[in-house]
Amino acid sequence: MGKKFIKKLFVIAFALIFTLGIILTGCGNKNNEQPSTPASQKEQTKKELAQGVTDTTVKVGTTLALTGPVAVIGTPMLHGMQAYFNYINDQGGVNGRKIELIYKDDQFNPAVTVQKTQELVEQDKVFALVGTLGTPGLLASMDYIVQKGIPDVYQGSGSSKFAIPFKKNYFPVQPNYTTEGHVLAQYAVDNLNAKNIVIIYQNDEQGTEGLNAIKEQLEKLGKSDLLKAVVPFNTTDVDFSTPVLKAKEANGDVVILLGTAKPLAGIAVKAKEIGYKPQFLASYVVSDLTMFKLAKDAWNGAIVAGWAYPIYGKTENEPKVKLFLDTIKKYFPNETPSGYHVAGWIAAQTFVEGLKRAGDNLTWDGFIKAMETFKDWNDGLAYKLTYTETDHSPQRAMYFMKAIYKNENEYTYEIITDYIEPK
Amino acid sequence: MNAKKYISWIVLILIATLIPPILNLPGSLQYLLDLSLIYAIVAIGLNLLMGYAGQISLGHGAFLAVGAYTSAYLTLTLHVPFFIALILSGLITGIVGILLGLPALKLEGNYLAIATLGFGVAVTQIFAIWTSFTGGFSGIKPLKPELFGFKFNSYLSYYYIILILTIVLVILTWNIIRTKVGRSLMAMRDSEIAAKAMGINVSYYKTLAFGLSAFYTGIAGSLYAHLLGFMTPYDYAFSIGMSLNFLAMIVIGGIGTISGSIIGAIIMTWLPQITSNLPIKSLSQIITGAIIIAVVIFYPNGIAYAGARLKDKFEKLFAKHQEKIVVKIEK
Repeated sequence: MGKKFIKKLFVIAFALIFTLGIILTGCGNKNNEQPSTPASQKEQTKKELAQGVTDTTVKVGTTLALTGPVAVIGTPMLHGMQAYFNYINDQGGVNGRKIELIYKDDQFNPAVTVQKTQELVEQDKVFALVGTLGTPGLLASMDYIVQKGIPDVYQGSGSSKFAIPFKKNYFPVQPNYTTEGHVLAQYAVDNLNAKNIVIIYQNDEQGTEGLNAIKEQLEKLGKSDLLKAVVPFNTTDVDFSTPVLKAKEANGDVVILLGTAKPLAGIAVKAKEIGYKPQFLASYVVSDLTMFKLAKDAWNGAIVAGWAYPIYGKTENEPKVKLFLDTIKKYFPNETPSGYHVAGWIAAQTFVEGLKRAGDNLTWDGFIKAMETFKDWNDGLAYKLTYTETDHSPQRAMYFMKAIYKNENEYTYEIITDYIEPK
Repeated sequence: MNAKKYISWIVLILIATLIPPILNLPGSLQYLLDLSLIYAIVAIGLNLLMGYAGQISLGHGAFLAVGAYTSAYLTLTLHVPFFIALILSGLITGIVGILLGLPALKLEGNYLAIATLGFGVAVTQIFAIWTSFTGGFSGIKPLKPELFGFKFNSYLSYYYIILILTIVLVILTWNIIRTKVGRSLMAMRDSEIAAKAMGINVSYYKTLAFGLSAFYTGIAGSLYAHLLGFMTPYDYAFSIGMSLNFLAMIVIGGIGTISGSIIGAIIMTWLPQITSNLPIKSLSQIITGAIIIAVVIFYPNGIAYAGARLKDKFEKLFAKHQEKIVVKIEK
C-alpha cells in the first residue's frame, strides 16, 4: 500500500510540475502581452518606448551559468549586477524607473543559451541584454541578437568577435584577448626586457586568440626573434610536466601564461617543483585571488594583467571602490568580493550610465545613440570607455600587478604599472 | 502491427504536425521542440544499438559532432545543397560508426563502454586541433537550409524537416527490427553464443548495429548544426555529458522501444527547461534528478511501458468485476 501511495504521489507531483512549468513558460508570455496593449496606446500619446520599458520600470535580461562547473563565475557575476541594480533602485532608479533584472541559467550549454536568449527577448520582452556570460553561447546567439537589434551591453567573454566586425547593438566592455596579447607582448619587451619569451597557452578560443596577438605585436615591435617556444596544453590536462619542461629547455626567462586558473596554477606549481624560476606573465583571466589558494607560494612574484579598476590594496578607500565593496557587503554579506563580482558590477554600471544618458528617449535607437556618446568614461570600475558611431571597441588599456604571497592567510596583488595602451 | 496501433500513430503524427502552428508557440519553445526531436533521432539510433543489439555506447555525443561538422563542411566549403549534405553526413558518420564497431567485436560490457568513452573524448580533441575542417575554437556558422529557393528560416519551417525525417527514421527502424536483421540483433543481445549456434554472423551484425546507430546520429548532427547555426568543438552537445544524457533518455523512455526513445528525449530536453522557470535557483536540477530516480524506481522498463502497465491494471480490475458479476449470476 505504501508503495502504491508513493507512486500516486509521484504521478501527481510530476503532472503538477509539468503543468506549472508550462503555465510559467507558455502562458507567462500572454500575461506579459496584455498589459502592453494599453501601454502601446499611451506610447502614441506620449513618447514612444521600446519593449520592457514603462514609466516606472526598465526590464533587462541576462544569461549566465548558475549551475555546473562555470557557476563559480556566473554566480558572483550575477550578484555583482544585482548589487549595483539594487543600489540604484534604492536611490529611486534612473529617471524614476527602477531596474528589474531577469536572469536565466544556461548551464554553459550554447544550445540552451540560444533558447534562453529568445525567451528573454520575445517572452519576457526585456529592453536590453546586460552582462551575459560564456563565449560559446554568446557566439551562438549573436546572429539572432544582431538581427533583433536589441542592445547588448557587456559580454562576459574575451572574444574579439563582438566588436569586429562592427555591430551596432553590441557594446563590449572587457578587453578582448587580441588587445591583451598586444599589451602582454609590449610589456614583456619594454618593461621586463625579456631575452627568451616562451608562451604556454590553453588550446582553446582564449589561448589561440591571445597567442596570435602576441606574435603579431612582437612582429610589429621587430622582436619576433625573442619568441623561443610556444607550448599548448588542453583544458582537460591535469599533468603539466611537459609544457614546463619544454619552457625550461627553451631557456625562457619570461613565460607568458594564457589560460584559466586551474591549469595555470598547475604550471606554476610544477615549475617550482623542478626548480625553474622564470618571470611568469599571466592573462587577466586569472587576475583573481583564487590563484593564491591554488598555487600558494608558487604564485609569488608572478605578474598578472588587469583591466578592471583594482579593488585590492591602496585603492580600497577610493570612493568608487568603497562603494563597490560596501554594496556587495550589504546585499551579499557572506561573499568575498572577487573579480567576477567586479565584472557584473561594471556590466550594470555601464548599462545604467547609458540609461541615464538616454533620458526618456528609451527606444533601442535612443539608447544606442546615448551609448555612443561615451568618451573616456571613467566614473565606474571600467577604465576610459569610448564608443563612437562606427566603433564599439571595448576597453583597450590594461595595467599590471605583482603577486605577493606571505603565508596562507596573507596574500595580495600589488599594482606595479599605470594603465598601458598597446602601441 | 494491428489497426489500432496504426491509428494511434497516425493520430500522434497529426498532433505533432498541427499543434505547433495552432498553438503559435513562441520562438524559444518552438526551438526547444526542434531540439527535442533531433535528440529523439539520436535516442532512436542509440536504442537500436543498446536496446536491440545489446551493445553499449558512451560516444554518441562524438557521433553527433561528426555528423554536425561533416554537414557544415559540405555545405559551407564544398557548397553541397543541404539535403544532400544531410544524407552524406549520415553515411559518413555511419562509416565512422562501423570503424568504431570493429574494436567492439573484441570488447564487451564495461570494456566496450570505456572504449566508446575514449572515442568520445578523442573526437572532441581531434576536432579542436583540426581547424581546417572544423574552424577550431573560432567556430563555424552553418547556414539555414534552402530548397528550391525556399529558405527554412523559421524554427517552425525547420521543425517540419525534422519531423518528416523523424517519421521516416521511425518507419525505417520499425522495418529493421521486424525483419531478419532485427531478429538477429535481438538474438545476439539475449545470448551471443545461442545466436552463433543459430548461424548468425555475430561480427557482421555487431558492426552493422554500430554503423546504423551512427547513421541516425549523423543525420541528427546535421540537423543540430543547422538549427544552432554556430558551433565549436567544445559544444556541450558533443561532450561526454551529453552522451550520458542520451543514455538517460533511452533508460527513462524505455530500452528497446521506439516510442520510449522519443518520450525520453522529449522529457530530458523539456524537463530541465520547464523546471528552470520555477522561482528557486538549483531547484530545477533537484527536481529533474528526483523525477529521473523516481521513473527508474517505479518504471524500471521506462515510461513507454507505463501506459501498458496501466492498461493491464484496468483490465485486471475489469476482469475481477466481471468475475463477481458472473458469480452473482450463477448464484
